Amino acid sequence: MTAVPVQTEPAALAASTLRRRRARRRFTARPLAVLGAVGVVVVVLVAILAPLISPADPSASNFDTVLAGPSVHHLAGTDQLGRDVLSRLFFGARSALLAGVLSTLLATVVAVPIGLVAGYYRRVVDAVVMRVMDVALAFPFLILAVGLAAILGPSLVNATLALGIAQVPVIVRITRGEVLAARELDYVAAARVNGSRPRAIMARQILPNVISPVVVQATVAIPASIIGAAILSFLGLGVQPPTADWGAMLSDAQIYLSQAPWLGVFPGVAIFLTALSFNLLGDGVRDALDPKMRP
Amino acid sequence: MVATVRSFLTSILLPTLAVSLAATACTSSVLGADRSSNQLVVALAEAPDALDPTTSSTFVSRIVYANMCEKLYDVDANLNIVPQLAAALPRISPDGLTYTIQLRQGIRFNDGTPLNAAAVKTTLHRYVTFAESNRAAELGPLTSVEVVDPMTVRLHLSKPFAPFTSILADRSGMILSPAQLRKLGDNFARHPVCVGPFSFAARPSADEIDLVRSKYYYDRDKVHLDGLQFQVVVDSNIRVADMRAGDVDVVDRVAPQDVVAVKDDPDTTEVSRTSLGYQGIDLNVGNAHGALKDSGSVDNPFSQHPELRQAFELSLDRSVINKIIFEGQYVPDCSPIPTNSPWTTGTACSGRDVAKAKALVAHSGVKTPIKVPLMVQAAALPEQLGTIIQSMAKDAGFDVQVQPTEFTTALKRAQGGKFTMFQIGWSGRLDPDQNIFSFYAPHSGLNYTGSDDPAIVNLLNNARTSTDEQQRKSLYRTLVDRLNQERSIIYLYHPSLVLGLRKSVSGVQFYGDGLIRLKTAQIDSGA
Amino acid sequence: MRWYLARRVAASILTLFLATIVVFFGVRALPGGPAVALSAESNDPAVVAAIQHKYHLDEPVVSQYGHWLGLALTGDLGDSPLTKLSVSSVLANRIPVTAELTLLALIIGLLIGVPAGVLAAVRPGKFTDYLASGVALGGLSIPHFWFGIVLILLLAVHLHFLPAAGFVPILSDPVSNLLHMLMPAFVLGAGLAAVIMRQTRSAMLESLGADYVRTARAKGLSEWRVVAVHALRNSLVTVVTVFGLQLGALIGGVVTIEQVFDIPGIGKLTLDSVFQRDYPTLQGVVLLTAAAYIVVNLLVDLTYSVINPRIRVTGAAA
Repeated sequence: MTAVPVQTEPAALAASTLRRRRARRRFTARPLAVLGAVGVVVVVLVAILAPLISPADPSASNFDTVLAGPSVHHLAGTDQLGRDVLSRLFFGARSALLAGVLSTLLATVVAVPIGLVAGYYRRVVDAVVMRVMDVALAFPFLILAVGLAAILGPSLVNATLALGIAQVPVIVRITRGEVLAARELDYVAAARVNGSRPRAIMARQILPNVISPVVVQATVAIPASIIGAAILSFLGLGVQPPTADWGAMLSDAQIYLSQAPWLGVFPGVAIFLTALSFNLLGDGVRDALDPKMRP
Repeated sequence: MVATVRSFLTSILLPTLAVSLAATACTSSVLGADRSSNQLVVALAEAPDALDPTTSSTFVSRIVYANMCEKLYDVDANLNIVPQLAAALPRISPDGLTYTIQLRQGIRFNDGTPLNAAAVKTTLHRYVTFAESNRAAELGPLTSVEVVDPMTVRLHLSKPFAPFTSILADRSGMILSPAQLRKLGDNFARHPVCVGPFSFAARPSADEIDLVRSKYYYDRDKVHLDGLQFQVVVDSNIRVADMRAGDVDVVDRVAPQDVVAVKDDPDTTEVSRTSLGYQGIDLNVGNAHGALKDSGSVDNPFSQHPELRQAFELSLDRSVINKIIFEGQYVPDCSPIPTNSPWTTGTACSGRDVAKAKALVAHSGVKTPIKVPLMVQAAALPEQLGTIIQSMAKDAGFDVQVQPTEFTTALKRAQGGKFTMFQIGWSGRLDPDQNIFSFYAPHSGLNYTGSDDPAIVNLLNNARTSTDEQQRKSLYRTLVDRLNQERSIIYLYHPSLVLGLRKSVSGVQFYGDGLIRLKTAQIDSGA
Repeated sequence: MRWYLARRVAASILTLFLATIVVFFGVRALPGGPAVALSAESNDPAVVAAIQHKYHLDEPVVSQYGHWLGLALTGDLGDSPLTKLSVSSVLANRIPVTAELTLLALIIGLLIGVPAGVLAAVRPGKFTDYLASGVALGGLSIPHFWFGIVLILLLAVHLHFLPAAGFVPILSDPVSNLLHMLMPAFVLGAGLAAVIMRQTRSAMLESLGADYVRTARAKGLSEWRVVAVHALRNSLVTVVTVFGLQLGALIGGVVTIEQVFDIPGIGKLTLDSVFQRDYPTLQGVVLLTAAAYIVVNLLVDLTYSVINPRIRVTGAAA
């Protein structure tokens, strides 16, 4: 599932291999998780292949066929500007994945080192970092993201940034908690006594312990970010027209709900299925990585 | 252990719920007591600002004022100015410098105190001197208010100002109770008292305003409702759904997309009027250092190559925009003055001509595609408007980048000249001067485009100082032609203001100014 | 315990204080201020200057903050420049609305989430487990603003079952109040149910394998009794945990739900004041939500250690 970095000690290596194998078995034993994985692969493929599989240019408007219902020519109908909805749905997968996955990746890359340092050095560094994170955590995720997006200005890049920054505190807290525990492990203490440099200890001995809780958090965070990105677009803080985006499509559709309900149905279903795939996958990953969850 | 859980539920959840419910009860408005009573509920499209006509600067607040703050003058169904608190139209001296206004006898404010010349003087003095007043600028040349006798005032102007009577037919003509002003001072907005069919009762939050029938209103025999409740419901389709469900009686500004639903429902109907306002595109032609500063050269294609403005306009098809975005219900136009106004100039607009637009682009020598950002408000309809403009202008060689921008940010950028194009409009006033002057006068805060055309400024000044209506009309004809040559603002259309109402409601007056006058409204008890 | 409590309270107050600083500077980082929003119709420099002066916006930010904090400590959160209403009175009007919505959502979440979690845990890996897990994850994956719109369209506009949107104060018409709250509370509760279900399931799995449960079984107690007693005991812990952890998500959810259903609560107030640059209102509302969040989490930690002293209170709330 996840690339566990190679550890120096043979015992740890063997243990980690064993853990990985057990994890894989637990994962594949859950049909829902496999279904989720398939869903994620499909969405990723749609995003990558959008230009090839889309029946039309997602931005090409045709003012003679606006708000046409689903038909042979337009399988998902056309929108208020006569654009092919199916093509926009395919291309919309790109901004959804970009904002959802990239923001979580970004947050992880930023937060894990902060958490490592805070947990390893403790004392003043820890106190300052954790106080800052507590303050950030005092603001609900969505309000933080909306505020940041409003300050940065609407664009896909800024929405991704806002969603990413809003996720940092939780990951820092998780990382730090794991570091505090790992730091007391025998082989970590031994490395410290042997005079290994802190950076080496953090990278080689502590980091591997942090990976799986962070991955579990990421699997919860990705679908939440996908929905968060849709909300930002829905509030007008997301992509720039004519970029196809599911949240923006919903915002447009809201005006035409009584005349063209399909405009509101398809993008919502797309967000739902994508988030569901990630959640199913994440649930499987969580169960696989965290044996406590199984009887 | 089951017992523990139960006791947890009963000890924590239930009391919390009870407290919460009781607290909710406290918020219930004075009038919310019984929906079936004779109270009319109006759903407004946005939240009014502070309810003090001195500082007020939103269109929607004027809808509320129309029912609780009468003015020296008002308009009739044909948008002609008629006396309201004044006994007759003002006697204007031949030089246009003094306005003598006779007040109606026997009028009392909604706190029971009498309306007289001194009250008018107090109010106008506040409008001109209050630091945060948004009225001071529009009352511009007013220098002093003289109490001639208890029921007559004479207003002295420093120079002739043709729109003056129309300004007294708007917020600047609303007379405030001096007693209440003395009592509340700066906080008048917390409990405003004017003359009107309804008086202010409560504003529990920004989104709800409650009015009750006035005990002191001079024309109270014609008032049938016990009270009004204004509720803010931002989405048009939800406003309409609420009305169809019977939760709301009258709906402000039904969106074009929802008109069919209102028409089809046997219980609801709609009335449509063309707005006095307009929507268009501001091009930054000379706003180099901010709207309040001197105009200068700006580094964008429209400022550098004026022929590109014409090319851009020629690439647009106003009637297609109207058909696609506004269901064909709006009025495409290239003038700030709508055709239903007494001041209409009947200016003919150029249609779409891509070939000519391309020729102009070629002539300018600018390499295509010409990148031009277009700032639009971050909301579905403005973004769709931006997208359709983008797709039309593409044919002429423009690469329009639509930038949805949250409104306050957009205003800040526009004022500072940090934009190339901005899709914005104006809610509209009775006198054409009030819809054009501030957008073209140098150093005016609303001159976002940085326009500085001596011919335009000259025409505007002549038109506002002329006291002859025919002469003014001819000046505006010339002016609109001139505006269409300069093209710092490309006018697109006049919106239609659609009022939705339940069929059980009658007696609502709805004119071209878009205000909802509910003085004589009533709800059929049979419905 | 007392020492721990004192430390937690002190840390919470410090956090709250820092949060007010973040909000104060954060809202000022938004382009344009109240003066721009208020003078949109004229952009008259004299009016802009007067508004800046009146709300101390022409002073250095640090002194503005000192001014605000001084008044806030006495309970005066200032007035909204936009509506001239006092921020505390507006908050007092809005809090019960959001409290009712959140509580109803919590109740709905519990009613769905706890039984589903128990059901899933009793037969892990079986159909009921998959069904419950699938439905719960579905609830978590549904974009609730969209769900809200779909429900409005379906239940209100087409079927006329429920009112579309809006809010009726409970005293004026309790039935209508509940009818108006039903859809938004359900939408909000659906997401919550998913989280509660997951928490219940994992807690149940853990405790069903625990020694004392095996002992209970060995003693011959009926399976139903084992499950019911321990399920409910666990769900008590779950309720407390979820309430603490999900309060942030709930408040976040309230923002969009109140927007979609046009409910005049805290969430809508937050967004409106961001967009209108209503600094005092935004400061007040964020102070309130941050305080609520911090206080609830503090209470959760404390309750937690009371219910189950084995749980290390210092553990990260992941």
